Amino acid sequence: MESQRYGARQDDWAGAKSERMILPARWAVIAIGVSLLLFFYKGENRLFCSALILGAIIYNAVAAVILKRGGSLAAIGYISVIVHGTLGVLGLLATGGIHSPFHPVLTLVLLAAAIRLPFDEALLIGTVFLCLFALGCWLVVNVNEPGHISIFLGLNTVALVMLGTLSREQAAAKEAFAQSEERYRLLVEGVKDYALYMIDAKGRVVNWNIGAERITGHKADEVVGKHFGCFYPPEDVKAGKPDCEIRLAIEAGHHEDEGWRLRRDGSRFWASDVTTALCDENGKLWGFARVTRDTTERKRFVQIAAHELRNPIAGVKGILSLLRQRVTDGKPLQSFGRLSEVMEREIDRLSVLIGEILEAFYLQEGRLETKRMPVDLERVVQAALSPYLVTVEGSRLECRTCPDMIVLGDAHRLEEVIRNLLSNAIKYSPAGGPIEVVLSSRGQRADVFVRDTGVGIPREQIGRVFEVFFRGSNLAGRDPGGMGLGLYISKAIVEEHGGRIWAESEEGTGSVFHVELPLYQRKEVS
Amino acid sequence: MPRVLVIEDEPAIAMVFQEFLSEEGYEVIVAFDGVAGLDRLRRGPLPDVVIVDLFMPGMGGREVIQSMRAEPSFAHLPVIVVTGAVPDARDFPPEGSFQALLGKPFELKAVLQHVEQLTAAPASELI
Repeated sequence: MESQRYGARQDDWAGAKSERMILPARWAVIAIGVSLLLFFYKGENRLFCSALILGAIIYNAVAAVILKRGGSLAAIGYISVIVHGTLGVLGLLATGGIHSPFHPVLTLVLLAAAIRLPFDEALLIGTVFLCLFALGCWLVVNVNEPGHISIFLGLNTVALVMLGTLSREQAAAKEAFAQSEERYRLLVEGVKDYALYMIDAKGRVVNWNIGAERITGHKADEVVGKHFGCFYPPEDVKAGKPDCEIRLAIEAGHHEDEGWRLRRDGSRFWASDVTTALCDENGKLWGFARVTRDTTERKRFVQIAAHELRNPIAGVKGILSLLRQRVTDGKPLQSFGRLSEVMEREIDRLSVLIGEILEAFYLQEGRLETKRMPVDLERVVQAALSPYLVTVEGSRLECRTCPDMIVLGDAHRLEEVIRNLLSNAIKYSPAGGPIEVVLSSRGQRADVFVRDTGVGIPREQIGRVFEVFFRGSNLAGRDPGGMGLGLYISKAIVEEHGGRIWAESEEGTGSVFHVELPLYQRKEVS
Repeated sequence: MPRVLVIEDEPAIAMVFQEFLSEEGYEVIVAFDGVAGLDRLRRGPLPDVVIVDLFMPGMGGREVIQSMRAEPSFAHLPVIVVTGAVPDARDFPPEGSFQALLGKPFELKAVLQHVEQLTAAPASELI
C-alpha cells in the first residue's frame, strides 16, 4: 500500500514536471495569493518563503523547504524535512534526499529529536502530521536551530500555509509568562483594600479589580469603557479636577491626591489616589494606573481625635483666660477652687485621651501587642474591680466569680476590658444604682457580664456602641474618662482573644455587657 | 439684660461661657445637648443669641440650626457656631444659616465681640 502511494506520487511529480509550462491558471492565482500573503506576513522568513513559492509556481514544484541562518539547503521539490548538521544528514537519509518522497515515521522521529519534544507531545504532533499526509497534504519544515521549527503545510501542489512556529523554549517561556500574567492578574484582581484599575490615555476605565468594586460599589461591566470622571462629585468634574490629575500625572510621571469620590449609590467616600502615567517602550503615553484607597475612616478618626483633643484644651485655655482677665481687672478670684479643679480634670482627660488615641491607632494598624499566656479570669475580674472597691462605688458593686476559668491571652488587656465595662456602668448609672459583675462558664466558653441599672442605651444606638468614638447621647455632661474609645478598644481586645462582646439594653432600665472567651483546653499530661 | 443660650456638651467649655458672659453682664442659659437646647428655646424665654457646638453626641449643631430655622418663633435668632475640628463642607451648616464661627480653643475677646455685635443688631438685619 505504502509503496504504491509513494509510487503514485512520484508519478504525479513526474507528471507535474512534464506539465511545468502549462500550470493551470487557478493554481497560479492561488499560489500568487499565498505568496503575497506570505510576503506581507510579518514572519522571519517571509521574503524567502515568498520567493520560494514564486519559484514553486514557476517550476510547478510541489513544496518548498526553507532554511535560514546559515542554512545550506534550500530546495524546491518533493521534500518534507531537512534539518541542520548531523540531523540534516539524517533528515536526508530519512526522507530519501531531495526530490524523493518522504517517510512520515522517520520524519516524525527527526522532528521530535530536533525540537526535543517529550514523547506524548511528539506523538500528538505526529498523529496530526499523519492525518495531514493521509489527506494528501505536504509539510514543509524549517528547522532554524534545534528546539525551534517553523511548520508550513502544503495543500495540493503549491499552496503553502504557515502553520506556526514551534519552539520548546519559547513555548515554555510563553507558558511561564502566561502563568505569571495570570498570577499577576489574580493578585491585582484579588486585592480587596485598594481599588486598582487602569484608564487609557483618554481617561476611560480599562479594567477593574475586586477592591474597586468593594470601595465604589460599581461592578466591572458598569464602569469599563466609562470616563473615570464619573467617580468624582459634580463640583470637582465642573472644576476640571479629573483632567487636572491626568495632566499632573503626565508631567511628573505620577500624581497623588486626596478628595471626595462617589460610590455607586451616590454616597461619598474620602479617597487617597495615586495616578501613574504608563508609556510604551517608545515613550508614547498608553494610559494610567490608578490606586485608590478609601480613607474615610482614617479621616474621620483624625477629625474626631483632633476635636476631642481640642475640647479639653479649649476648656483649660478658657478658664486661664478668665482668671487672667480677673487678675488684670483687679476683680476677686471668685470660684477659683472650682475652676482649677475643672482645669485639673481637663488635663487628666487630655492625658487619658492621648493614651486611648494611641491605643486605637495601634489597633487600627494591627500593632496592638497582646500576650498569649494562660490567664485566670477570676483574678482578672478581681484586679479590675479593686480600684472601685476602695471608693464610694464599692458599696454598689456586687461580684460573683468562679475558680479555674483559664483562658489563653493577655491578663493586662483583659483587665482593661472589664475595667472599661465597669467604668461605663458607673458612668451611665448617675442615680447610683447597683452594678453586678458575674463570671461563669458556658460550655467551653467563659462568660463575664457587667450589669447596671442606669440610663440604658436607646434601641437605635445599640448596634453602634462599639464603633470608634461612639458616645451615648442620653447622658448630660461628660465624665473625664469618656472619649468614646473604650468599647471600641474592648471589642478589638476581646476579638483578638477569639471571643465576642455584645450589649443588651433597655432604655431607662439599664444595660448588660457580655464578654465571652474560649476556655483554655489544658493538654492532659499522663 | 441680654440673654445667651449656650448649647455645649463639654462641661468645662460651657462653664467658661457661663462664667465669662455672666461677668460681662449677660444672662447665660446652658443646655448640654441639642435636644435640650431646642427644648429650652421652645419653652422660652427666647435668648438674644445662641452659641452652639457643632459636634455633640446625638443631635449636633448642624441639626440644631436646621431645626431652629424651620420654626418661625426662633428662626430669626442669631447663631454662633463653635467647633474644635476643621469640618467638611458637608458637615457644616449651610452658609447664611449662622452668623459667626468660633474655632476651639477660642479667645474670650472674640466671644465677647461676636456676642456684643449680634445682640446689638436688630434681628431683621441678620437674616
